[in-house]
Amino acid sequence: MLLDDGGHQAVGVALEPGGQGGIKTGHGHILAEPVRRDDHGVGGTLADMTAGDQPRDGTTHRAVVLVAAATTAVYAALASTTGVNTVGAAVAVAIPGMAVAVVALLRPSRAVAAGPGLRRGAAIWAVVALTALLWEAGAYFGELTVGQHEHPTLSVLLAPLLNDQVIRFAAWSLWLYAGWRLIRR
Amino acid sequence: MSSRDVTIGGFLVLGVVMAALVAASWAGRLPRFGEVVDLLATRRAGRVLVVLIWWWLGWHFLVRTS
Repeated sequence: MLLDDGGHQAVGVALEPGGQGGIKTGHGHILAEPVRRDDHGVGGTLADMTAGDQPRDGTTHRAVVLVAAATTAVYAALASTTGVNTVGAAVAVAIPGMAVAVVALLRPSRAVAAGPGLRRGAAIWAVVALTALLWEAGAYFGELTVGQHEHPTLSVLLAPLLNDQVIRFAAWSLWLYAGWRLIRR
Repeated sequence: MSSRDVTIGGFLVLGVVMAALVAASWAGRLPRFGEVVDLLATRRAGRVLVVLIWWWLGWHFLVRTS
C-alpha cells in the first residue's frame, strides 16, 4: 500500500490488521484513533489520513507547500547574508526558533505506538547520536586542553565551508526545512 | 597518524554510518528518521528535546560556527 508522505514522496509499507482497530506497519503501529471531522465530512481515523497528518485537499496542500518553500527560500537568502557571530545572525535563528518552539509545544500529541522495529531503529539512532555527541565533546575538550589544530570540532571543520555564500544559503535552507518538518509532524 | 587525523576520521566514520542508516531506512530495513523523531516527540519532554536540538544546530553552525 502506498501512503502519501505529505506530498513529497510515496511511502510503501506492508499493512496488516493490528487488532483493537489499528493497523501494523513494518515498524510501528498506527492507532486508529478518531480524528476531527470537518463540515464536509472529511475525517475518519488516523489510518485514513496521510502520513503527514494532512487533509487530502491536494490544491490547498500544494499551495501551502509552495508558500512555505518560497518563504523558506527568501528567508534563507536574507539570513545567509548575515555574518557569523553577529546580532543579525542570532536574530535570524531566534525568529524561526521561537515560532517552531511555540507551534511544536502547543500542538496536541500524535498517537504513535512503537512496535519492535521502531524501537530497534530508535535504539540504533540513539547509539549513533550519542556516539557523535561524545566524539564532538571529546574534540571540544581536546580543543580546549591540547589545541584546535590537533582536535578540531565539527563546527571548526565546517566553518570554512559555511563562509561560502552558496553553502551558507543551502545550510540555512536545510535548517529551516527541518524546522518546517518538525511543526508539520 | 596524528590526533587530528583520528578526530577527523571519527567524524567521517560517523557520517558514513548515518548515511548507511538513512539508506537502510529508504530500503525499508529500518524505520525512517522521521518515524524515530515522531516517537521521540510523542511526549512533551521529547518534543522539547527535539526542538532544542534543532535550535542548537542552527545556533551552533549558522551563528557561531566555531
